[in-house]
Amino acid sequence: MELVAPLKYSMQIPEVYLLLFALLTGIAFGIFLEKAGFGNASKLVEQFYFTDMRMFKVLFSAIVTAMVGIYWLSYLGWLDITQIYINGSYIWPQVLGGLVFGVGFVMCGLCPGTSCVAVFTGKLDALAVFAGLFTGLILFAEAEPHLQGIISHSSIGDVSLYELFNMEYGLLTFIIVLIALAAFWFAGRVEERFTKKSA
Amino acid sequence: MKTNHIFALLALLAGLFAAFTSHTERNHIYPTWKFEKSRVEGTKVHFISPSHLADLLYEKQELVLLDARTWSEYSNYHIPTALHFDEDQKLKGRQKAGSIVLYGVEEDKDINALARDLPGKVYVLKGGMEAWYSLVLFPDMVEYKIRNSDQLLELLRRCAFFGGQAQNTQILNLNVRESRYREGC
Repeated sequence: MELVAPLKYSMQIPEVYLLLFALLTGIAFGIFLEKAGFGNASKLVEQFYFTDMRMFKVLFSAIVTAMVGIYWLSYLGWLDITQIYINGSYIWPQVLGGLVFGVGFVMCGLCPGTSCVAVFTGKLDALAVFAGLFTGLILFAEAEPHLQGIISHSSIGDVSLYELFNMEYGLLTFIIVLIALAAFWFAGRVEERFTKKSA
Repeated sequence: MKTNHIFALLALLAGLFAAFTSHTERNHIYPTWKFEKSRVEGTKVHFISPSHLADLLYEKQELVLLDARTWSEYSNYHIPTALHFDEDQKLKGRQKAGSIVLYGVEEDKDINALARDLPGKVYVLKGGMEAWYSLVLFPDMVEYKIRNSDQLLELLRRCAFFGGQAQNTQILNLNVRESRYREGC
């Protein structure tokens, strides 16, 4: 197992340290998820009643932080952007996957990452989610070789947004930052409104 | 001022400054564009990138390719399925369905005027034959950064399809297994 991040290429770090780095990053990720209250299904599900948009704000700010960070790190020549692995885009399979994911999220109140955290803080409902998650993973892994034709039918390759819109990466970063800030403001207003209603 | 307002302001500034830097060109990101509209000596010209043209031909899309170089250059080498422009003047009158791609040598400025005179949607190959050689037939891996092994294989396959060969491939250090990674939430 190797790291997907470009650290491997840009710095000469032995494999064992890379794995250690991955482990520490994973632990830190788990701690922060738990601290933010994302290990609790009843808290997460408030997102869908518009009373607590914390999950949305945290994830969107993570996207913006990563995007701005990657942009400036690569601009300064510290990170080789071409070495970052990008998942391919398969339009219809991803639309279907997104729907299944969304329905599962609303039903259980947990997503794959947060269900891991919840399992290790001893939540029984998370254990059921975990079992479902792994059943789905195994089924998909077994079925994938037979479904290759259907899956790759609507593939558009591993394009990024700036390639898709034929736009400068910097300009796109700015647009996404603007969208995020507007979305945070809007989410705050929605929260206020729905909290008042439910109170 | 609240902490989140400070962070919002920082993000805004970082994004704003990013918008005024030309990062894509600096990083040789491949491929950067497919079609481009730009003004050459006051008139609008539609360009097509050599790599996109290669992709279209590779996918067997219906295109009319016109070679505006001299007959000897054309008979020496031309892009597959291309017709020599002077020899096929009759094409001017008979408009086939699909797009026309016109190409010549890079420094030939008359080609833009020629493209304007032709009927229908006409694209000019950006960089001419020189760009076709350096980007499609003999792409140099020192200049073009390849993102992953899928992209590399695709590029090599396309290269071989047109009878060319990629240069300096030994410098690539790609992990073939990377294409099997899947990301989660």
